[in-house]
Amino acid sequence: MDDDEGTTPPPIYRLPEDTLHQIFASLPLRQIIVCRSLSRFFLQTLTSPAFLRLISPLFPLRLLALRPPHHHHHHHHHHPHHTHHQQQLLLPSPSSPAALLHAFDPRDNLWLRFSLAFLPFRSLHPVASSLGLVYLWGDSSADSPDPAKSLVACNPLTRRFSVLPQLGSAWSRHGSVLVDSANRVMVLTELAALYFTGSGSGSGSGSTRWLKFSSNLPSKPRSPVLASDAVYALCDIGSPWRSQWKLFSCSLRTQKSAHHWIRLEKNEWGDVFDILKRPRLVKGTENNILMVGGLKSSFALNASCSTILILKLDLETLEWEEAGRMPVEMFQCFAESSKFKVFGGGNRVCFSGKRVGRLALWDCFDKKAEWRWIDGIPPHGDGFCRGFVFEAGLTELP
Amino acid sequence: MSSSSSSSSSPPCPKKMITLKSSDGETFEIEEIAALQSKTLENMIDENCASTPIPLPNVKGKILAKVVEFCTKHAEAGADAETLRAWDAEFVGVEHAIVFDYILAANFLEIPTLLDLACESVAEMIKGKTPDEIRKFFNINNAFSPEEEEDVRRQNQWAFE
Repeated sequence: MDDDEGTTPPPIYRLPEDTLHQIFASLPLRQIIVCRSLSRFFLQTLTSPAFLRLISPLFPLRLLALRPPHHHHHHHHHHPHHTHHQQQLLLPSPSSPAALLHAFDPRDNLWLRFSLAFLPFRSLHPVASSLGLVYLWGDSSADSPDPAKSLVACNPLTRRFSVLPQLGSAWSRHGSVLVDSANRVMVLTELAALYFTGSGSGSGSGSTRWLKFSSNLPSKPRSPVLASDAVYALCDIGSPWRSQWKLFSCSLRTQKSAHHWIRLEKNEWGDVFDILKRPRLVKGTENNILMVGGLKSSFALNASCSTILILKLDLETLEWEEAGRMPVEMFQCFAESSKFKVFGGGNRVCFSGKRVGRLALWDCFDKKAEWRWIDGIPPHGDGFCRGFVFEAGLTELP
Repeated sequence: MSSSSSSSSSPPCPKKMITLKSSDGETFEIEEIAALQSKTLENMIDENCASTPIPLPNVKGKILAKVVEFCTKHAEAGADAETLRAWDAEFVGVEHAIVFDYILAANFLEIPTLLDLACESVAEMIKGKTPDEIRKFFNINNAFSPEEEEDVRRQNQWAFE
């Protein structure tokens, strides 16, 4: 097997290591990883500490991950061979269709698939991500009629995971999972919130459990987001025939026994909530949050929308400004379905509509906002795509 | 070569020539200005070792000729960026074995512009190819056992799909 000495080594091996690093570091990250499988020489060269330092700016890989649809489609077809690659397919097909995390890379414009088969759970449901870790619901034992659900934190790149203390199935059915960079995990419902700080100080300390807080929200929180040490959510305080959306926030800075939500409002805001149809919040960058909705063409009850508007709220000054507006040609594809789903974060927002067949992306990452389509979406259930931002990297688990 | 008419700085006399000698005994003349793009040569010139033909035992004549051509072109005053880029593209539009020689020469002579250009062109040769295609192109022998290769792939499965 190791008869490299018999034949002359390929000319590329003559190049100095620095130069090889320079060459490979300029390739897209995915190709760099693939090149590790070229030969032992390349595995060594492309995993050396010097090289890893050189490519560290490529991480995190800022991706848009999809959440699987609520009901499972149990396909039993094997993934078809790629016809445009001549790779030897040594990979076993995943044990179940849900054992894959699909994520889109807007920079290199391609879909990546991360295998979740390393997780010893069934019915995996990725729901959130922060700092390279993906949080999923999983069934610990599939045989019982109401299997216990666990919330699992994992890194699909390093294939390591840790399980959070178990929760009743009601939480997994109705709760929104929010995570932030302080490794705080929150499961939020209308009436209460569970709060978990998995501090790095190891297991066995008092903080590695769920703390329950009652909540004073007037109605079900919509599209909650974590930003700047607080949770923000929209609540409809109107009547069944006329929505009236308001913004609520709850500080996480101190841990009191009750989650005290306050309504955020300023006179200058005017009717900022009334101009949008079905507004939703999306996480922004450090000190702001975004609000997205159809721009109503009038204040009439069932006014149609002229386009989709993205507003940005500066959390320090509490001032709204317009961040973006979907181009009319793009909006025409959404106009026929009255509902659309939104997800994203940072400087990217994705829009999914029934029967649109592709995702619209508002990408403000390089300061210059652009709108474009994302094609090639993996097959999904009811036509809607839900998802979250996934910043893939080599983060260790806390 | 026409004498440079740049008036901004006072470079060393533009017509001053340096002689380089390749590993296989060929000699080449290069303008001092052009030679300054090589940090190695620049150091030698500064230390006044540049009067006799400078021996470059690591560079064959065939390659040294091209390196001289590259440095001379890049030392020309008034070349616009786009023309230069096109010229560069043609310069590295050769067999990869020769590009490797450029890299080795650029390394030895410390010519960052040539090194960057050559590295870029090798990266372009790799881009978009599957592992098998890359191995074939660069004559790389796999030498992984099937288990080892399977291991590498499995650990980074997402990149392979």
